[in-house]
Amino acid sequence: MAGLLSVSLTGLNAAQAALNTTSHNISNANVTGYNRQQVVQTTADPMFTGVGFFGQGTEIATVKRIYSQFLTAQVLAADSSRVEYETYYNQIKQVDNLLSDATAGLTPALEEFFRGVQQVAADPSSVPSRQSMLSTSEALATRFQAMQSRFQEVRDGVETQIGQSVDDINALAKQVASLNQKIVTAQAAGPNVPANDLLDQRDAIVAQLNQQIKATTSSNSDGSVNVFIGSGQPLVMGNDVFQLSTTPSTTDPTRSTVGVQLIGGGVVPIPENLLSGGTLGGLLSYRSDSLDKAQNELGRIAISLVTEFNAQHRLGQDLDGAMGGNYFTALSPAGQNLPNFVTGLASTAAVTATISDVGGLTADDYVLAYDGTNYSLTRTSDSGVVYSGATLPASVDGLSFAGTMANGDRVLIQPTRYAAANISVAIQDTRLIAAASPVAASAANTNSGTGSLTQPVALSLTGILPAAAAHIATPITLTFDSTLNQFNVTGAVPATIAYNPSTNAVGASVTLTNPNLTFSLSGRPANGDSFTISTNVSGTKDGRNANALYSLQSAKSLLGGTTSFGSAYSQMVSEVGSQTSEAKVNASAQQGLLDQATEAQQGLSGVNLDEEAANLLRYQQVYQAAARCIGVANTLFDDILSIMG
Amino acid sequence: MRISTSLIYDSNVATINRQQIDVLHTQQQLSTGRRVVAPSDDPVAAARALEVSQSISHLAVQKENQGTAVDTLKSLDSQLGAIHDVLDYVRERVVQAGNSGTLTLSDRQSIATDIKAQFDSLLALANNQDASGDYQFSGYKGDTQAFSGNLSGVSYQGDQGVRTLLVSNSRQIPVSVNGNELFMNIGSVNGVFTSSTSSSTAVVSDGTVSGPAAYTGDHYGIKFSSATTYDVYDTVADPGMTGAPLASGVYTSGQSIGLPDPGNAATTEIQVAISGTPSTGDTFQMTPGDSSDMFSTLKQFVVGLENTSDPGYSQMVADTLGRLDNAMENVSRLRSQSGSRQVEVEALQNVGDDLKIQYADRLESLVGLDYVSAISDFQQQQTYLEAARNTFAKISGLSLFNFIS
Repeated sequence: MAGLLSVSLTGLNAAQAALNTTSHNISNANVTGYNRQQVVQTTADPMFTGVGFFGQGTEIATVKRIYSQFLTAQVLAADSSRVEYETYYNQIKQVDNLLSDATAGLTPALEEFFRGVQQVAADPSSVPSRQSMLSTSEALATRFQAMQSRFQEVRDGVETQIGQSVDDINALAKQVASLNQKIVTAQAAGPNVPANDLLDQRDAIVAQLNQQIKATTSSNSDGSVNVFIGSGQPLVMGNDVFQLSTTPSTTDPTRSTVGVQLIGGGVVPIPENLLSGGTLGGLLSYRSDSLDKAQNELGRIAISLVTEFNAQHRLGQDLDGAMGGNYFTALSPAGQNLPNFVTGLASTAAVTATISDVGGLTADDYVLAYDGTNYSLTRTSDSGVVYSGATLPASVDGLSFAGTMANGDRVLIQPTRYAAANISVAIQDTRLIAAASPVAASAANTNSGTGSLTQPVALSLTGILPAAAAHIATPITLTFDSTLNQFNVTGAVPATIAYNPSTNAVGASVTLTNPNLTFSLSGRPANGDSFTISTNVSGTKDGRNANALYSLQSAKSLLGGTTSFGSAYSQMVSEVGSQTSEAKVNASAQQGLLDQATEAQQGLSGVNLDEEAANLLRYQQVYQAAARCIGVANTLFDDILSIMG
Repeated sequence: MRISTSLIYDSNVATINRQQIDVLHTQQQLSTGRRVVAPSDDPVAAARALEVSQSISHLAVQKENQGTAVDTLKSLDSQLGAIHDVLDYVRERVVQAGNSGTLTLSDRQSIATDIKAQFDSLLALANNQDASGDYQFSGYKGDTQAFSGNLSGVSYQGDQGVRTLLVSNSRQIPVSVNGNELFMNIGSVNGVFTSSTSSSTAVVSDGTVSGPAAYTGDHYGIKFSSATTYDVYDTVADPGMTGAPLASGVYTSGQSIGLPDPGNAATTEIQVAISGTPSTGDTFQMTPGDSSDMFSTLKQFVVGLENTSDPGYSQMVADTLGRLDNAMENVSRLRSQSGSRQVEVEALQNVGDDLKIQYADRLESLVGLDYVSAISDFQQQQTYLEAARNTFAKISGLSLFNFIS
C-alpha cells in the first residue's frame, strides 16, 4: 500500500507539473518569441525483487522548449531583409510622392518658366511679358529650392534615424550580453537543465536586434551566444559588447558613418556595404543608392539650366542696349576641404572647380587629392578614379580645376549637391532681360540683286564688346563680287565668304568667327550689292535672343548632349519610381518568405490553444486517475484496519 | 502539421491589412482618375507622361503665338490695304494730271493740294502704332518713330529687323514688314535700270531688259544729233557724249531702241522706246537701277504740278505713274506674302488642334484610368475583404475551450 501510495503520488506530481506547464503555455500564448514548453516525463527506476522489477512510478526528466535553431535562423534572415526593404521603401516613398505631385513636381514650374520666356520672345517690348518671365523664373527657383529642402529634410531624417538605430543596436546588444550572463548562471547545472524562458527572452532580443541590422549568432558551450552583425562584425561576445557609434564621414563631414568604438577610444568605421539588413542597412543603402543620386540629379538640372541660360542670356542685349548679364545667380560646384591625410589636420588647399562642359556633368561627388606628385580625382560613390596626373584636371566629367594644393590635401567636390538650394534669379528689373541680339543687319537700298541676309545672332562673346555702346568694333560690310562669286567682308574674320548665286540661292548658312556671328544668305545678289551688320540700336521689338533662350528648353544639353532639362527630370522620376516599385516588390517578396518561415517556425514552436485545452483535459484526467489510486490505497488501508478492528 | 493560435490572428490581420491597402489604392485611382498615382506605380509611363505634358505645354505656347500671329498679320494686312488705297487714289490723280491738255494751272494746283493731304495720310499710316504703342513699321526699333520729316523729305528711322513669332517647333514666322522694305526701297520701274531725260517734248519709256543676266550695270546716254537721228554712248567712259558713239540710228516715235553691250556691240542689253518730238541736243540717260521711295515720288509729283513751266511735265507724269505702279505692286506683294503667312498659321492651328487631341489621348493611355476595370477591381477587392472579415470572425469563435465547462 505504501508502494501504491508513493507510485500514485509520482503520477499526481507529474500530472500537476504537466498542468502547470500547459497553463504556462496558455498564459504565454501571445508573448512574442515564446516557444511552447513540454514536460519530459520518464519512468522512475524500478525496484528489483526476487520475482522481478516493480515499477516505481514516474518522474519528470526536464521541461524542454520546443525550438529549432534552423527554423529560427530562417525567420531571422527573412525578417532582416524584409525590414531593410521596408525601411528603404518607406524612405523612398516620400521622394516618390514628392516627384509625382502634379503641382509640386519640377515639370510644371519648368514649363511655366519657358512659357514666360516665350512670352517675352513673342512681345519683347512688353513690360507685362517681361514681368511674367521674371515671376515664372522666381517660381522656378522657389520650386527647385522647395524640392531641395524636401530632399534635405528626408536626408536629415535619415541621419537622425541612423543615429537612433545605432543607439537601439547598442542597447539591445547590452541586453543580450546581460541575458548571456543570467543564462550562464541559471544553467550552471548543465545544458540539460535549460533556462527556457531566459533563452526565449534572449532570442526575442536577438530578433529585435536583427530588425535593426542583420544579426547572426553562434552558441558557446556555457549557454551564452556570440552575436555578429552585417557581414561578420562581432557585436556581442559572451558578456562583452562592442559598442557602435556614428561619426562624420572622412569623405563628407555632413554625413555620418557607423563605426566600432575601440576600447582605448577612437572609432573604426565599418564600410557601408558590410552593414546590410535591417533598418540600418535599409537607411544606409537608401542614402547612397537613391537619395544622393536623386538630390544630385536635381542639382545637376539646376546648375545646368543656370549655366546654359546665363551663357545665352549674356549673348543678348537688354532694353537699354547693354549686353545681358547673368540671369540667374551663377552657380559653381561646391568644394570643401577635408582633413589632410598626411597631417590629419584640415587641408590648406585653395582649389576652385568650374563647369567646363554642362553635358559632361554627372550626378557624382568627388574627392580631389594631392600626394605631392600626382593629383587624383575619385568618385565618392564607388571610389572610381576618374583622373590621375601631375597637373590639376583640366576637364574631367565636365569640371575643370584651378588652385593650389599641399601634399596630402584632400578636397570634397560636390558639383551638383547644393545647386538646387542656391538657385536664384539675379535680375529684378524687367529692362535687364536680354531679349534682343546685339547686332542687326541691313541691305543697302541701292542693291539691284535679290540677295538677302537673315538677321544675325551671336554664337559667343568673341568679338563682342559688352562694355561699349557699340557692341562690335566696326560695322561689318559684306559686298558681293560676281566675278569671284564671293562676298568681301570688312570688319570681321574671315575676309571673304564664298557664295555662288546659282547654287546657294536657296540659302547658305554663314558663320563669322570674329565677331562670332551666324546668319544665312540667300537669293541672287548683283555685283556690288552690299549688306551691313552693325550694333542693334533701340531694338526693343527684337526677340531673337529670347527665342534662343526658349529653344534651350528642348536643346539636348545634358548627359553628353543627349537629354533636355525636362527629359533629365523625367528620367530622374522614372529612376526613383523604379527604385520605389523595386523596393515595394522586394519588401512584399520578403514578407512572403517571412510568412512562410514564420509559419514553419510557429508550427513547431507556437502555442495552439486547442492543443493546450486537450492537454489540460488529458493531464486533468491523469491527475484524477492518480488521485483515484491514492483513494484506492486509502480504501485498502481502511480494509486492513477494519479486519484489525 | 500544427498551427499556432496567435499565427491565425496575425496572418488574418495581415491579410485584411493588405486587402485594405489594395482597396485604398483602387479608391485613390478612382478618385484621382489616374491609373498612375505615384511614379512607382508605373515608372516608365510616369516619365513618358511628363514628356507628353511638356509637349502639350509647347503646343499651348505655340497656340498662343499662332493666335497672336494671325491677329498681327490681319492688322498688317489691313494697314497694307489702307496704304494701297491711298496709292490707288493718288494714281487716279496722276492719270488725271496726265491729261495736260485739259488741265488749267489752277486744276493742277488743286490736285497738288489733294496730293499733299494724301502724303500726310500716307505718312500717318507709315507711323502707325500698335495696341501697345509700338511703331508697326520700324523693324526692331519698336519705340522709335518709323518715319520723320515732311513733304520736303522723309527719312526712315527704323531698321530692317523682322519681328517673328514661334508658331511651331521649327517655324519662326515673320509677322512684320519693315518700313524700309515697304516704303523706301521700291525698285526702279523695270527692276533693273532707270531712265531720265532733259527733253521737254519727248518721253522715254520704262524700258525692258533682254534677260536679268544680260544687263551688267552699264550706263547709257542717247543724244539726238538732229530731230530724226540719235547716237548711243557709254556714259561711264564718255560722260559728255562727245566721242565716238556705240551706235547710231534713225528716230521713229515709239519704236524701241536697243542699247548694245559696250564691250560687244553685237549684244543688246536693254531696250527703251522714246516717243514725242525730241529736238536736237536732247539727251536721255539710262543708269543702273536705283530705288525710289513713296514719299519722294509724291513729293516730286507735287513739285512737278506746282512748277508751271517745267519742260519735262509729261516725263514727270509718266515717271510718277511708273513709280506708283511699282509702289503698289510692292504693297501688293507684301500683302500677298502676309496673306500666305496667315494661311500657313491657320493650317498650323488645325494641325495643333489635332496634335492636342493626340497628346491628350496619349497622356490618358499612359496614366489615365480605365474606370470600368477599376470599378470592377474595386468590387472584387471589397468582396475579398468582406470574405476575410467574415471568415475571421468565424474562425476566432472556434475554440475547444468553448466546450469545456
